Amino acid sequence: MTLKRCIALGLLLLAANASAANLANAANVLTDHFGRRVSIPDHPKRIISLAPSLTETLFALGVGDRVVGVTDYCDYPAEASSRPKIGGMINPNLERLAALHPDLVLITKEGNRRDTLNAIEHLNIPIFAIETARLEDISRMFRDVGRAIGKAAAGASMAAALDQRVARVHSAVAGQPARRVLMVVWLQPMVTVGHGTFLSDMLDRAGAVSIADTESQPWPKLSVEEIVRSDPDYIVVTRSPGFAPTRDDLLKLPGWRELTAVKQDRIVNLPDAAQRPGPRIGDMVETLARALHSSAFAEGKP
Amino acid sequence: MIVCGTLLGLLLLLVLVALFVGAVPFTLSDVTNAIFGQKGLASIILFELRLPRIVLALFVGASLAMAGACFQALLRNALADPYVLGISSGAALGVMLALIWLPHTSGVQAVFGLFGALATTGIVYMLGFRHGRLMSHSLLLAGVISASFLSAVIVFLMTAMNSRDLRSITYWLMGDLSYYTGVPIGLVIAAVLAAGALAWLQAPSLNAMLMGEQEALAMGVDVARVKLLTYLAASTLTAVAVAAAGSIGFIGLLVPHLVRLVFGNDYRILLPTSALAGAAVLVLADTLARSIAAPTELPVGAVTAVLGAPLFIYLLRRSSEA
Amino acid sequence: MSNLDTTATDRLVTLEARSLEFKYKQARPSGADRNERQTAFELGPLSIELASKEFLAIIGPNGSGKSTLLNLLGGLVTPSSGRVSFGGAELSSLLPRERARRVAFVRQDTPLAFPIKVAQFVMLGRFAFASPLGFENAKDREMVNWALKATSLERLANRRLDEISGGERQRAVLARALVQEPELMLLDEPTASLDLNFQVDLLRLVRTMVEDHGITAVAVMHELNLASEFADYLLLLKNGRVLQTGLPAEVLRRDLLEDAYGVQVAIDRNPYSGRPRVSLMAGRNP
Repeated sequence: MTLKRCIALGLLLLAANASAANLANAANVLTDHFGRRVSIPDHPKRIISLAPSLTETLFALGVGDRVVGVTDYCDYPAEASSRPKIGGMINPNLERLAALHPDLVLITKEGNRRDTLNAIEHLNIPIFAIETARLEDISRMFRDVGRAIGKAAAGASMAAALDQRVARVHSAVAGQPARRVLMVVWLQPMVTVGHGTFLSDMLDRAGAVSIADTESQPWPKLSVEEIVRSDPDYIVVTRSPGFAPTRDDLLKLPGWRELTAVKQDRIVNLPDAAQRPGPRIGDMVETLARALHSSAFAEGKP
Repeated sequence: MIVCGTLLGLLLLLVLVALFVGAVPFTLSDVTNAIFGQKGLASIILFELRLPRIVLALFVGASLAMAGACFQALLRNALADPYVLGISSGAALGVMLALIWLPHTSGVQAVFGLFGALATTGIVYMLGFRHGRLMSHSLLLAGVISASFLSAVIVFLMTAMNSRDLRSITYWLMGDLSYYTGVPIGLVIAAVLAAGALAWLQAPSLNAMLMGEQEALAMGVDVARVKLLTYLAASTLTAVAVAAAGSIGFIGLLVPHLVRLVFGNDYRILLPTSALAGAAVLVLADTLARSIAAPTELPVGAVTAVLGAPLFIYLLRRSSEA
Repeated sequence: MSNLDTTATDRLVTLEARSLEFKYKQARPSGADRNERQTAFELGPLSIELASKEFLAIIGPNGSGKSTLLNLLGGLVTPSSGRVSFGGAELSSLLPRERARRVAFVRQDTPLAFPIKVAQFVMLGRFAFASPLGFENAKDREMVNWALKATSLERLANRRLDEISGGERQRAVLARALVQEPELMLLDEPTASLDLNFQVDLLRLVRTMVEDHGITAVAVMHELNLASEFADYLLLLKNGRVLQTGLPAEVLRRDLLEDAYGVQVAIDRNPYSGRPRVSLMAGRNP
């Protein structure tokens, strides 16, 4: 008996030692958002995130201590920015990534390249792709990431909480006329939100609609004339690293001082979390809704 | 021959150094263990990641240098580089279309890029073929016009791209070897060797053509055929290099000039030595690009530009003094 | 040449042009005739017969088609009708390499100020004999040495083309033509822009090649008296048509030259060589 056990143990150790990425003890086979079936160990302990939204999700799910590598752009929460960096989202440094011996890598469909996914897959490292295009993808992300890292329950409840919150905000503004909004993603050139992105979904839930909603492109560029002609009710500025224009900056732009929204100071500033399809999006939806429809929230509706 | 041997030796040395250098530091024992078969992090990084990239750099560098030398002869212009005929713009357009239409399929970028490059080659060739002959100045004109037109289309398309693809194509346009994971390296090697051999076979004729096409014809050179074959070889070399690594600048322009300074104008020697020198330069540049600011990877085209621009100025002044 | 004095009845014709015609569809610069502005140009019909050890000089005003004729005779251009053959072979149908082994060109408007050594430049002429990879063998080097010697360029062999004088460059061009081991040499104004002594040297060299090595030579020449001195036969061309061919005495006639050039001349004999000599009748005072 003892001898057999020893041999079995020895063989097991041998198998486990065979390669850092050997998945002899994989417990989960999940399907990622590319439709790939990925073998993930039961409780991955060395997770690398290739997008800020994924990093935030991991920390929100409480597994921040298991995150061993992040991108240069992962700055929230503060702890995340102290994790080892593996480069940008477009060209992460594969050597550094491999040297961290990850047992799971999370990657997005929108912000990262398929080539990167294939290269990491080629190194026999489990990599799971998440879609983050629309608002509904965000709660799906919580669920699926939760399942992948062994925190299915936490993921499900985060997802439910987000759905409920967004639904609440949406019903609070349901009776109100939709505000016509110019959502400024970038100033030079003037990039705004069109149709079919999570930002346009966010506007919709907050009781607003982008003045460029009819454009076929997701991120159309509007000329000043079109903006003046549409004369939006509100201007929403979403900040991002390196882009935080003040009202004075907007006034300096030719033609902008004619806009009603500028004259009446109907300018809403959102922090950069608004551009990140992650855990803070619920806050953003509510903040936006409250700014655009202050009367709907005046009675202290939750 | 001795010279080639020395250059080859230097090149191998450079490759070894490049293997050593990178974002993850290794000791000598790590490297020797990896070489002698021990599997582990070192072997994965060295052989799955660094070595393919270095090999690609070798062949892309060789390819660009040879193409530059050929185009300089073909267009009778010392300022010709492999991109002057619009081949890189055609490839860029192909890559952009791949990004826009098939963003989630990998490997198609290289294919689309190659196709775009070859299509441009064909069109420019037809435009440059006047009065039954391929004329240098009409070829150059056709190439410059095509390049401009394609650049305009590219800029237009860029306005419609999302930020990930925009970033992607920007890196690509600067020349970036970090895309090596999507490139079939074996095919690249085969193509470069074949096209390079074809170019080398034209070398004696190219030497004669330096004296003028009519003179060369009188000396027995089948000028029309040589031009066609040289054009084919040089375009293939460029197309493959660009499809694999974006438009890396300065190598096609400068390496042949530098080699000429040392070895003279004889194309039988110029072509192989340019290839070796180009390979060495690109491996050096790429090693710098991926280790100077690690883990951030600089696009290698930025490094070649920084190294190449002052060198170019120096060469220009030196030639105007001569 | 039908009106040739065939004292040597067993003369073996090597270069033969029969009913040669060449038409341009539009004005194009061609060789020396860059000033041509006509919309259509016709050369011929003309016929020529020349044997080895014979030197023909083609003379005539600019734009008369001399260079075109030379290119036709060398097979670089295909005639609109008629045929040109050398040694029985139709030159324009030969592969460039084969043609280059029989015919060599010497031109004077080559862009020659190139940083290449004289010896290497002359070696380029061996292209037609080279192996695919183009590396030289002993025979090539032997021929180059011989050509350098024949053109008195041995001590300049390692100098660069852009470092030697115009006359020396022209000799290098001749040397490069010689290494092609040609049986037919075609020269296009080889003495233009050369000093008199170099002109004489070059033409003497051509004569040596013709007489001692049995080459057939055809040269387009500007200077009537040099042509008379060194060539065996002359061909006077005007507007693409042959005014006269034959011995210098038969071609250098007052009426013909006046027709061709529009200048009044007197013909007498050079007292030193006995060859016909052309003198201007009305120089300063018309």
